[in-house]
Amino acid sequence: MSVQETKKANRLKSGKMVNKLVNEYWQDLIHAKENGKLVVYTTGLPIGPFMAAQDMAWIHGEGYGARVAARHEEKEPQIIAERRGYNRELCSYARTQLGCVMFAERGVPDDMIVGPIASEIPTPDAIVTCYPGCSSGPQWDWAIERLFGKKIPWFNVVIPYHYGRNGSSYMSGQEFEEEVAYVKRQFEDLIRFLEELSGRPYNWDKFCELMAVTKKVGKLRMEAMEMCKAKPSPASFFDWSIYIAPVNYLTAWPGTVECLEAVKAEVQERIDNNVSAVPNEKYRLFWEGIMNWNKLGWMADKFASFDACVVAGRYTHLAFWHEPDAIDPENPLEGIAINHLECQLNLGYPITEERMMKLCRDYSIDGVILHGARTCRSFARSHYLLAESLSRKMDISSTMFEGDMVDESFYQDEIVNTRIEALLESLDAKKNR
Amino acid sequence: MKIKGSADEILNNLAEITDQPYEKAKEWKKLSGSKVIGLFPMHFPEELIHAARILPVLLQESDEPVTAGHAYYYPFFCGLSRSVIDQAAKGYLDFLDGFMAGDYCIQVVGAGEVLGVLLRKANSMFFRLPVGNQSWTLADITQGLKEIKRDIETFSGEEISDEAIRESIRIYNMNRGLIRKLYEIKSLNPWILNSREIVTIIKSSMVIPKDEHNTILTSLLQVLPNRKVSQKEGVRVFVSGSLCGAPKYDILSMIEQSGAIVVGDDLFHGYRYVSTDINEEMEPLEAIAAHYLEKNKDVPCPTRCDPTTDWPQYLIDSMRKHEAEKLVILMAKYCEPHMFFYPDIKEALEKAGIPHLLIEMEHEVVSLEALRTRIEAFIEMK
Ligand code: SF4
Ligand code: SF4
Repeated sequence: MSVQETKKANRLKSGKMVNKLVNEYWQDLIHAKENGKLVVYTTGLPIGPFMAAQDMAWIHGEGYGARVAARHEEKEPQIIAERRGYNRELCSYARTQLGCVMFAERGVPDDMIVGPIASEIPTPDAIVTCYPGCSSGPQWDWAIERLFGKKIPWFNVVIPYHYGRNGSSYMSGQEFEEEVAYVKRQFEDLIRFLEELSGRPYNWDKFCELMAVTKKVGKLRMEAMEMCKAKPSPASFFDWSIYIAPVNYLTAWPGTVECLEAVKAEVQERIDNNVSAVPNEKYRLFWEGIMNWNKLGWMADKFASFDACVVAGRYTHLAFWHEPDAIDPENPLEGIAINHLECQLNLGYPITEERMMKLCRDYSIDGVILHGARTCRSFARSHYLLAESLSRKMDISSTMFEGDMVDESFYQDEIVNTRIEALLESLDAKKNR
Repeated sequence: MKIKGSADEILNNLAEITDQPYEKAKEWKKLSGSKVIGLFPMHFPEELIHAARILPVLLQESDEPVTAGHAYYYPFFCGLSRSVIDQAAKGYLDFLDGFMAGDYCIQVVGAGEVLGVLLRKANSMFFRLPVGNQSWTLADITQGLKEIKRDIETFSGEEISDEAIRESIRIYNMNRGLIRKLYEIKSLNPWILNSREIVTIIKSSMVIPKDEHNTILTSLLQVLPNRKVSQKEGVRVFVSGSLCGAPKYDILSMIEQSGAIVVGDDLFHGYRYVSTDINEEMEPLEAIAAHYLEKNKDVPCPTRCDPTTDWPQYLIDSMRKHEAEKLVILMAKYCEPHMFFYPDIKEALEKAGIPHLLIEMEHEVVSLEALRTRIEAFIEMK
């Protein structure tokens, strides 16, 4: 196959607005304590508004890992964590944050120069876990709690796995309904916990306002992504990866509405002017797996050079306020529970399979990239089943390679290249059949 | 009923059972015409299944290298989960009428989902066991038990009475009690059973009907004091870890051949499995729910995320209790709950001046000889 290395991905320009918000957020966080704010560490789902309503700052573990990696500051925390005995097979987000926690708790060792994001984040006043579909999430927060000498109050919202028992399926059935009620009840307890922590009655009005913003942003993002059903696609999965921050740890942050409005307008403009995400879209692919933050730009260009557009992914399209209509801003707890329960990691295999086939149909997918993130077993667990079933039921081919979200050492570029080429060759052969 | 034979004969018989861990269950199924449910280790309500007159069998990691299973799971998952998938892919688990996975470990969640595809005819169940220890956790676990009870009843077509659950609890408590008695005998005379034999006793208890196992244990307890063993001096060692899967026998033997006596353990195929009884007086589902919190106090489990427990301190206390000098940690490769805890254990041990050796166990053993050298050096170290 001939490779036109000169072709580059045509990335969305409005992504720059996200960078601005992201920078603001991290600066704000570094100075949170000076500004009199309590700091809450969280992992898992985007629960920022619970804290924001009470004027607290929050730091999101995965967002933190991704940010540290995006700024190329991840090596030092990963090394220090390994020195303490954290195995490199552990979730790399967790390892990275645990390293940063070690810097915060024990100081930076003399033999290391550490970046500001990795070393200047304030220590927590509380930890709130809200992890869907991965046992490592709460275990990671427990490890943080221990590192801080077991002094930090810890609240764990248990998100039950939506397995699909007794015929329950996506957003329906007895199991689903019971689970929504269960999570809602825990959110009520969380609110009491935050009230106690802050010593103030909960600011429901502000919370509802923030959830109205969340709903709006969630809707705008889903609409913008749905516009990529167009052929050629105006934007790619790699663009949408950038737009995760505004619906993840930046949920309801000032400026997120404008940011998503801008991207939606840009996507519309591209459609109107027939501008596509990759210069010559020949194949439409699906990214199955968690994002690889240190390889994002490299990957985007790699696929563009093969005339392949990765148009959708389970990571981007099946989480982060992907069911905005379920949110009632006047009474938001149930809608939050629904979005969280029905997110990509928390769905039992048959439901995942059904959702993924729907996305493949909706976005006219030719092939699937299975990114086997070595240290995110939650994402990787159903890859083989999905590959087999998509091939059998929809004649969609796939390829698989190992990688990781923030630990670059798990990549072997030649293997990635060969696997992608092999997939595209097989798609070519299929098209010419 | 009494099982005839010497301690050696009874132990050999149990070793035969664990060599082919599912054969007894298949026989039982044929004779009784009843059903068998395979459970992933470590946290499942065996008593509830037993009360439904179904045989619960704990799925075991096999010594066979993974081959057919490669088509279903990445190689960077733990040996237990990959091995169970491999066994299913090879048809070894076709005798199961149902299986139960749960949410305590993501690798079990995924493996259960693969089994759902591979064992199409078997009923797929899922046990929800909320983590943590808040004021509401007990009620939440009880609710999870109610849900799984309902699913077992639908599957078996019969209601499970409270009395039946109580009776099962009694049988299971008896089994735990008998095994703890063996531990007591061993604590006075550590040579009487080696660590491989202890693991065999517990592993066999996981795969055959408990009342049958109780009969065997009762007989063993009668003849065990007469067992002739040579009492060599040795370094007193505590063995920890090996969640879900049984430790490889070769590794246990190597530890003992290097001049150590294993005087205590917190292995799942060890004391962890039998540490705590279920209250026989309480409302049965609540009693089982309370057991999850209680047993975790007795032997803390890293999957349970209970901040009131302290695994490193538990290890230090247990070592003092057993007068153990050194600790061997057996960690299944890719076992995340264990990997999250190891640095805390390491730090606590270093502070307490307790030497330890970490052995990462791979499903496919690479080089036992290199391991032997490491173990010998550790045991000999002054
Ligand atoms: S392994 Fe994956 S899903 Fe689990 S905590 Fe880490 S990033 Fe999250
Ligand atoms: S607890 Fe460890 S051994 Fe058990 S399933 Fe999870 S990863 Fe595997």
